[in-house]
Amino acid sequence: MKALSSIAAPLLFLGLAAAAAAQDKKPTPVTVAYSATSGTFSPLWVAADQGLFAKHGLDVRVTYIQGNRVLLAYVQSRRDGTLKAMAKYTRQRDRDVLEKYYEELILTLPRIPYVEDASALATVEAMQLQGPPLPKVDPKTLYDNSLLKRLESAGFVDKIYAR
Amino acid sequence: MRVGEDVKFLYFARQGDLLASLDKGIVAAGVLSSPTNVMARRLGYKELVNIASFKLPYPHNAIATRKALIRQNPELIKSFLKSYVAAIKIIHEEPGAAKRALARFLTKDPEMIDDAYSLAPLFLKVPYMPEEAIRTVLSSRSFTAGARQPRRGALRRFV
Repeated sequence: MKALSSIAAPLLFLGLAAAAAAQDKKPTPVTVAYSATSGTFSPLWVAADQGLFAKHGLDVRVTYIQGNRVLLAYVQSRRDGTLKAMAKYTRQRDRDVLEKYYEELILTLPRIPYVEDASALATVEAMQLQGPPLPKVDPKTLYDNSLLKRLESAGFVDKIYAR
Repeated sequence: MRVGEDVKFLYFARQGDLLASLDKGIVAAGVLSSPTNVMARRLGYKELVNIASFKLPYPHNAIATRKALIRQNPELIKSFLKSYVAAIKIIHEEPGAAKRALARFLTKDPEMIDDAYSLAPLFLKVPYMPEEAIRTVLSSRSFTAGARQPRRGALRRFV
């Protein structure tokens, strides 16, 4: 057996944000975000595809947001700010518990997010499985770590972590 | 088995990253959702357990917004939920239409579409957030006493 796997419907959240106040008879513009490409978002997609939002007077823009990457650097470099945000949104007031969560979280986040050969290769293989046939590609041609290396060599990473 | 000693949990931002890590031997097991589970099957992985089959009371998906928006524009929330509930009806009664939406937003792969559509029974006709489901979440983490009241975690009045 290659490895173990199990299947579950994930816990997912939609973010709903109204853009502007409704005007008479004009559909209300709304942005609805989904955070994973998973079948659990089917009602949202069916409502958009079948024109149900428009039928109920909404002008909905459906968008995919993967916000976690944007926050990586902040989480790694701003311990107090991160703990404060965690306390606010989990309603957890116990500093020890928050710090334990933080320590576990920080272990899984890369300091410099280089793309690795193995993950690029795995991505190409996964794309081969689900999409139209791809020509043989060298995974190394699909990413460029040179900019990150230049930043690292120039001391940028050390500088922002030292703040 | 004890978490942190016998078993280590890792977080991956995307299901694709988890599958890649499985395939490279970085992790021994993973929890996959549709349609990534189909890709895993094609790579030769075996399904050990379908957690959805346990029918655990758990909020498999939820809609979040700000309290301020609910206060300021309840009609908008109502309209959104009417559309959402009507979409659930279509999912249950018109598989073809539901699968067309999955093909538009999720994938063109027929097997993955069918697998994603197999989640249809999860969508309740009237999608109340069961108190029991919130209780499960609250019991699994360390919340303050004030946050342990399930009703505070869900707004049922609109549904």
